[in-house]
Amino acid sequence: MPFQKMNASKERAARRAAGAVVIAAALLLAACGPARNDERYTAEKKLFKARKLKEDLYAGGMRSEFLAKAAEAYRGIVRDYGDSAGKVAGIEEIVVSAQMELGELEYRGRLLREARNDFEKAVELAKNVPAALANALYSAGVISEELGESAEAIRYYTRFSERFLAADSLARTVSMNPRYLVTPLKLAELTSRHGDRDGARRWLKEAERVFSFVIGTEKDPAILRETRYNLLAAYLQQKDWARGRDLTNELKKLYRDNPQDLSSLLYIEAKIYEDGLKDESKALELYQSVVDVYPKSREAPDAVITAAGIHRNAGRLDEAAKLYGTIIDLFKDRISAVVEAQWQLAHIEELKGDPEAASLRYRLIYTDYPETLQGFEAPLRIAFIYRERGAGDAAKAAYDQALKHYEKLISGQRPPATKIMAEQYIIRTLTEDKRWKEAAEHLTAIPDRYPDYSPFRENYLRAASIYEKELGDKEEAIRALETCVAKHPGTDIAGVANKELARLKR
Amino acid sequence: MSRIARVFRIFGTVLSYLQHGRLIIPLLLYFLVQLSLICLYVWSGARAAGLWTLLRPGMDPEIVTHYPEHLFFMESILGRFDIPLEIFILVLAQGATVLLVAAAAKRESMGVRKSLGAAGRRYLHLVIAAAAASVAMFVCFRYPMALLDGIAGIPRGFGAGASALICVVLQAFLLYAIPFILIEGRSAPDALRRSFGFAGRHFAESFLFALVPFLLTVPTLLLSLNPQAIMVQISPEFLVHVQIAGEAIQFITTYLLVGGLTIFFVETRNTGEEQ
Repeated sequence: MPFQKMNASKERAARRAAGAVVIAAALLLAACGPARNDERYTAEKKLFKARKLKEDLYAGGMRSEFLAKAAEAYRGIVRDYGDSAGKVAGIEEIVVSAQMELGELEYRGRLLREARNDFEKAVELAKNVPAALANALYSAGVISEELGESAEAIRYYTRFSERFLAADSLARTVSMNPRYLVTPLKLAELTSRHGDRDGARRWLKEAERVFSFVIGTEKDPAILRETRYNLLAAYLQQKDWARGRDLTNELKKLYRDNPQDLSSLLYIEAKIYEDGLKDESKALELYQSVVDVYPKSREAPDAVITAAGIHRNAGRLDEAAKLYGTIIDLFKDRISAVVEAQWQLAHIEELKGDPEAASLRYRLIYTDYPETLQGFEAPLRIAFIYRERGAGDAAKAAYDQALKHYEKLISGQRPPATKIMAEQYIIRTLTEDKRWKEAAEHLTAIPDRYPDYSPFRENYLRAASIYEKELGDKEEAIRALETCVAKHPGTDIAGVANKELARLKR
Repeated sequence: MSRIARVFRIFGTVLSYLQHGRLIIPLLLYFLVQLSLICLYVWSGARAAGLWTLLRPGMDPEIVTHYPEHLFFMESILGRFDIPLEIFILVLAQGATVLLVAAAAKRESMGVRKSLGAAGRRYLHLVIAAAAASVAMFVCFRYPMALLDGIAGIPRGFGAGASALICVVLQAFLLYAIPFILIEGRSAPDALRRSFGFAGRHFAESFLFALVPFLLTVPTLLLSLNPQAIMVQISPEFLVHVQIAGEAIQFITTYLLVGGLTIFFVETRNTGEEQ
């Protein structure tokens, strides 16, 4: 109704109502608008959004396009607020958190090189945030180990150890994460693998120092227990069998009320007699005790397998076979032990010169337990047996059978991890059978089928190598590398491919 | 006409009164006060953290300066203002609405300013009645819930449901205190006593007047009960929207409740049903 036709009171009421609506709308807009113009608050908001993207990514099965989006959200925080870190209170922690979470995100997405690079950047950013610095160094070490780059791993773990395992910072490091304490043990193992025996010895001594300090000062029973076991591991790695045996006995007394500890310690004691003191009969007696006293323990099937291994290595194949048979009868629900026993029985049949029986058993393994490591290995082992005997046609048929088996695994309703494993075994089968062209074609075909599994990106490099070295086809090698660069621009793997391209085009 | 049909006929009448825009102005003003509080909270941030947490002893003001905690704690912090606002401000808006609706029901004319002035003159009685009602509701909600939730075997949430029902029943008995104060000029204690008597005689209608608006608030009430899920699954900003929606629903249901009970009160007292 137009205002002029209203009476005066209605007109007033309408105007007031209209005014109230305008004020309400303004207030509503204000309430729903940006919260505060505060840098830290805005950074926290961006971090929250990035974390939400990360959670959505984890819930959605790590799809690569969402991974890129979440990673970019974290990178944006580091880029936008990196300069304010140290100037505005609270920003440094946010930037460091974003950088750390970016590394973790990439690690979860199996982008191991990118993850390590980002943890390296986190090391730079987290100089004033000890907990994050420790985590970044340790994570970079773990990733380097996973990448098989032990020199890099040693470098990161050494930096970690120097900064966080020194006498004056040990107590705080324990409170951060007790897992950090095993760093000297890791370093000893890595340096030993590198052939640096003195280095390994030095790190084991360092491990002893760290563990002894923690045992002397720590009050938390869980940390104390773990550290005592770590100390035992340090003694055993040093081959200090006497001290290892003494500590085992001490631990048996300390944890006498816990059957799980007692069965583990009995198993370790048996190992000491087997590997260190070379007392086979005592070792066999102790392994038998594990089975007799703690038949339901985690170690019981392992004890039988190890005891059987002693007999097998000593050439007592019948006794070994008897024990492996025991595993199949007694521990039916322990799949990994049963499969291992079957595998060893097949191997004993090979040693006894009965390849047909062995082949039949290997066939049984891959039919009944196709998703175990032995299940994947078994078809190739059959081919190996025939190849070793010079039965070329039978070996060829076994390779074809293996391919059929792996293809069946891929086409069936299996978990993605099984399918990925089957793809890798197809490549192995083709390369063992020297079907190079098929192997190279398969290598370049599968990355598109598994876009979320980043290790397959390296397939282009392997394919290029096959084209170049086995098939002498430089053109195809270049094409494979160019595909890699085009499909994964800006990644580390593209960098390596570019270097290879430059070499091939010279 | 059945009692239920009568209540819904009255709600229809209350809604038809919306054509007289002025009837909702007092409650709309109160809604604007609530909206202003939300805006102030959202905008003031770190600078006023100490002020906002004054009503929540033991809470570190620093927490409110962070995102998303700032928005997460909004409902519980602003909730602390509810009782004082209801006792000292909402009661005035409700009183003015009672007078405006009563005038409309009698086909008389009354301005907003006049209704507010008339309610203001009985402000002390209104505040006493509102304070007594708030204390009674608080006790009735808190203690049965704590008692029932503490008994093993009783499903979780049963205590809250039972307490809410008790509160609705109690509210039905307290509904008419404002009309008795403003329309019949009773003192606060007398109005509360008479409200109990009146509601007792017309329990079905009174219970429905309290229940229907309560049921309308349930969706936003349930949303506000789980800020953690909203924050994680939707976004922390959505908590602001929920808070505003809650206040808007409160505004609408309060108008329905106050308008409905006033018309019922006027009809019943004027037609001699009470004799």
